[in-house]
Amino acid sequence: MTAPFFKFGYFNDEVSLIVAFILGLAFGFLFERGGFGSGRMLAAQFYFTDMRVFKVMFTAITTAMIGLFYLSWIGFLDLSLVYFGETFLLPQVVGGLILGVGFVVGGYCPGTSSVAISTGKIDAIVYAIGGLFGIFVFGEAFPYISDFFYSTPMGRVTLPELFGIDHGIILLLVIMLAIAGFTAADWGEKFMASKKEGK
Amino acid sequence: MLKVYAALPPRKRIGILAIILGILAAIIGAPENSTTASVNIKELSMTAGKNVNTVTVQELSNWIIQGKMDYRLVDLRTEADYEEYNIPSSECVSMSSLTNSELMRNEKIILYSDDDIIASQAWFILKSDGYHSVSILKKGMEAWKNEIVFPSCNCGEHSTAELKQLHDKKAEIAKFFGGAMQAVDGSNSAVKKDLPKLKAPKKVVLKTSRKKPAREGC
Amino acid sequence: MNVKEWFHHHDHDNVRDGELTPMHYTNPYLIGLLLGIVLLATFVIMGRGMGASGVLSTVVAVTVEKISPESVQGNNFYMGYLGDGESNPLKNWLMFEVIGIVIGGFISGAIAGRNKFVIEKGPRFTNKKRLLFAFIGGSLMGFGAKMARGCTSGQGLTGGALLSVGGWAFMMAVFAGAYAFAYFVRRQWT
Repeated sequence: MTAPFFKFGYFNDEVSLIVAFILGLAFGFLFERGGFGSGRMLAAQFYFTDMRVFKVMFTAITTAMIGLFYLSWIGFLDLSLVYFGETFLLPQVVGGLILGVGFVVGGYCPGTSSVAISTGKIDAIVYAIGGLFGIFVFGEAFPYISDFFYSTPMGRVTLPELFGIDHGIILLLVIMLAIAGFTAADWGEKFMASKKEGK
Repeated sequence: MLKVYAALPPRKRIGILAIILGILAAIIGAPENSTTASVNIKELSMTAGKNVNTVTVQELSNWIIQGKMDYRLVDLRTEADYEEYNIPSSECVSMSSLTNSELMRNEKIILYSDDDIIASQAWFILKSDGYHSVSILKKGMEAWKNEIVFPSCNCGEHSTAELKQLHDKKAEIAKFFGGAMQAVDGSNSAVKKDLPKLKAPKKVVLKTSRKKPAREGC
Repeated sequence: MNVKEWFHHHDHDNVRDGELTPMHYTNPYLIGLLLGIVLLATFVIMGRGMGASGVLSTVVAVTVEKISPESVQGNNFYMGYLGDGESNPLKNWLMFEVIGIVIGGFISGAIAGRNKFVIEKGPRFTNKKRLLFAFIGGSLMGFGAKMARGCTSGQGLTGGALLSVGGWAFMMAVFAGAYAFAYFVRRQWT
């Protein structure tokens, strides 16, 4: 197994920071190029007029997922060395709901707000400051909510492990789900566009 | 069929490619639990037998004394033997559970058994499974007992200060690990010397614990 | 090409008369594909995925520690972002990655002529209200992201690609929460 390169010591910590920067450049460029630097564009997802957020995210997830599977299969990538966070089901779902509300109210998420700030969106700057405030509130409240924060631990569990289905079958299901989702998204956009015309 | 494929818009083409990859994946199953490995026999035959793959008991004892914890020391013997005595900082892993153990492919692994044979077999298994750094403790437990914990003392031959220093160093190391210098008696007894029972080394305090991994979340 | 033109606001902006005309953004599927490849490269090179919210947490933790060091002792949350005291907590992988994201976004916007100081909002909303909502939304985001141990980049993209149960549950919750609340802020955007 050759990859992940950093974990096998092919380069040191200092170089990894440069790698981080270069990867970040690519992420940021693609985010902005895809329209994620615009709060209006991001929010349009939740009014069904432009399903860009769903399309980009799900395509990216599916692509990377397929890559991880096949690189592991040919013995190039050691999946056990890739960092995998632990699941704490309830706080993650609650946190997701809260973040979702924050997303549609504020118009951004942390990654997209970064590209929005650098392309001049003042509301994104305010959003990021709000983010710092929200994290500060969390930090101060942490001693009181840490029980909830650590509740429902499930460890490093993957969907295949949860459902007892092979990794490859889950892959196929996700791909089919993605295609179905994209078809629906495209149809939904057309429907909303025609509704607007009809008005 | 290829003509039909080429005629489709790019979006549909990628979609079909994705479905094919998905079906192939469903057939493959779970790559991370695969029970087969491909071995680069040329590379293996080049590296096997080289010193990079062995660690002497002297080196290991120095590392333990210095508190260097950058390796995983694996004891391949039975649980009972492990409970009776094991080299400090070692963990017990049986040969059959090597493939689904906690050992990571980027760690420095040192294997030992009673002698070299079992350790060598385990070395081959791990190297075939993609582990990068696997070493064998030369002569295993035998060497550890005979050279570190119960070294023999050529007590008459302390002619030079240097030899005396070596002798004292050996005795000190032996004491660190709960053993003692063994006087060599004149009679060349063919009977295997019965070494004193070694208790599991509670006395040996390992100086440093393993380095905490850097935070990798988001 | 005149470099000044890169930074000048073009006529064919993405927002005109309150209408969204995303003609100058690349096809989302292509972007997703490329993003997935970069994400895969991150896994292969670093053995980890991407992230973004961790940077905000680090900034908060470092600031709180500077202002009142006693309050971070014993608070596991802050301590987790301050490291072991040996190295500068700001010199971490995520920080450099996010700096790259910021600059990468700037470059893309510059090339397309989209860089412009503006407040994004719908036509029926005032600037002041928009900024207020942005702050509130940001606060909710910060709180929620820490509760969920990540944001849409970290838990969503990274956790999603790794098929993490928490990541997928989180993503579904994000979409659910956003769709559920979209009705109440529709005046801000549409």
